[in-house]
Amino acid sequence: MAGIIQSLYEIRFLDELAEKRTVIHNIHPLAKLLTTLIYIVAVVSFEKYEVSGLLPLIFYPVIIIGLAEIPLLPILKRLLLVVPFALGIGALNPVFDHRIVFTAGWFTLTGGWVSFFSIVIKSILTVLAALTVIATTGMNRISFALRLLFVPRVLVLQLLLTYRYISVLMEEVARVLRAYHMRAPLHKGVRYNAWGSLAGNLLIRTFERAQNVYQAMVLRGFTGEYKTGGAPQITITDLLYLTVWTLFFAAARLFDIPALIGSLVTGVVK
Amino acid sequence: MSHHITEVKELHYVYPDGLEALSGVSFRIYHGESVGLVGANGAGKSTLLMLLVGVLFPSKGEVMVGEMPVNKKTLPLIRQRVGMVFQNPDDQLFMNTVYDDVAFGPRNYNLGEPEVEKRVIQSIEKVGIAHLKDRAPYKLSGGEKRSAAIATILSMIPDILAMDEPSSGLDPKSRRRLINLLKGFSHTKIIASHDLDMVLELCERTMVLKNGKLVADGPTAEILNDAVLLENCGLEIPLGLQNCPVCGSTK
Ligand SMILES: Nc1ncnc2c1ncn2[C@@H]1O[C@H](COP(=O)(O)OP(=O)(O)O)[C@@H](O)[C@H]1O
Ligand SMILES: [Mg+2]
Repeated sequence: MAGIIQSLYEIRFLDELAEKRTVIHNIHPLAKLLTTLIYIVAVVSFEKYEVSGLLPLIFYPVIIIGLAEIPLLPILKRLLLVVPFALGIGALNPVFDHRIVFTAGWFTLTGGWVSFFSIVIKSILTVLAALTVIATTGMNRISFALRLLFVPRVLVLQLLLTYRYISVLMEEVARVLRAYHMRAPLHKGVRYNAWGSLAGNLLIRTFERAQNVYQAMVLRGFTGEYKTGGAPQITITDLLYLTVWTLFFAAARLFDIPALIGSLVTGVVK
Repeated sequence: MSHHITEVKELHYVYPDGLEALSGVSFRIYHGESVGLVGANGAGKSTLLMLLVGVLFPSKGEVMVGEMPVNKKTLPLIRQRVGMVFQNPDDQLFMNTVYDDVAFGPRNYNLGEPEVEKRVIQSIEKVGIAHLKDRAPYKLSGGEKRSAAIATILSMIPDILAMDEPSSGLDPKSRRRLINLLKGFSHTKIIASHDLDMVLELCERTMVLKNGKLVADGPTAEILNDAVLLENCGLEIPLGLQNCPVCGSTK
């Protein structure tokens, strides 16, 4: 149980990472946001049976995680939270799609399995991209970038407050659970007969706290936009960042790079 | 000096569930005054403070800050002039670093970044947490959080400080630091608390609330010595005014 409480408290971890100062952190939020969006579109636009073509795109999150000095383990932990959903979505593909796409002796690979892997890889890549952009930019600056893209203020505000609300909720969950386990030290989980009142209590408490936090913000002149201090100027570096990545994504999308390299290598060997 | 008066006239407030939390409160607070707002739990102290800053609006009656009535139109101005320190600093600190949190208010008022920085540094130095400026607020100690919360308000350069139970949850040393800090402020102060010893030290005037009504308003020394009144309102004479419990010597 202590484990759960600990991980709940880690909810703000991404925000903390976003306060670091590395090459990647210093890129303009807008450039990072656009790069991420283009990346996600590129990944998702691959057709259903594509696996090898997706592989080069893993370089993007890997390079960012490396340069931004993001600790790997916590990010992988968060990634694991999402994988079950991807598995769930893809799970039925192998059952229904028996078209054989590859055989080698006794081994046959059906279209179902290929599309299953494709879905899992796509999910992992998109989630990684989203996590890295939050960890290197922070939600406040992302929302600033969204405003630059003319996303309506209400929507951005919704996003921000929801994000803020999640941490408020998590903190309350941690508190309620701690209170529960102080008085029920032998229970592994929470007994079913306490669920109702616990959940109700939680709802009211988070609601109250969220309201208090919002009032504190409004009292200090909040009108719906996080002012993160001095809108940074877009520099040549930011433009280069965006252009180079976009070119790379386009190349990965248009050419099957692993196949190219493969044929190149086999061509050389021949 | 009339624009520095805070005035409340026949104030009523009924919560949506029908509970009348304030019924007919009136008072005037003058520039530079330091007023203690005391009363048992549920007396209506927090509600009154919320009405002063326009988080709530009166069901009946009026709140005036300076020459301005508190209403939807005047809110931005009111909120700049009246800084409210919440009872729970966790509610007030929501950014990722102390610096950003203290800068939050000034930035919302579109001050340039150099001015924002100046104000932030001044505020955190004033409350003595300059060394914590890059820390995450939710990782501070209780006393540090309280100081940070006060700094977030100071950076807006308010004329009036409204504080809800500022000493609650503080250990004796942090409480002492807080009292000394507040003593040094020249703002008009309205301090809601049942820490009567603190009120005794900080406020020359005290108002007593009971079940939403103002039952006493006068010099602190008089009111906090009135055993019958305090008893009636669910309070007791502060230790600082009681006879010594050990040797029995009178004060
Ligand atoms: N959101 C609310 N809804 C309904 N009643 C409330 C609410 N907040 C406070 N009250 C009630 O209003 C009265 C005054 O509360 P409050 O101003 O918080 O008192 P104090 O701060 O002096 O302890 C109490 O009886 C309390 O139960
Ligand atoms: Mg209260």
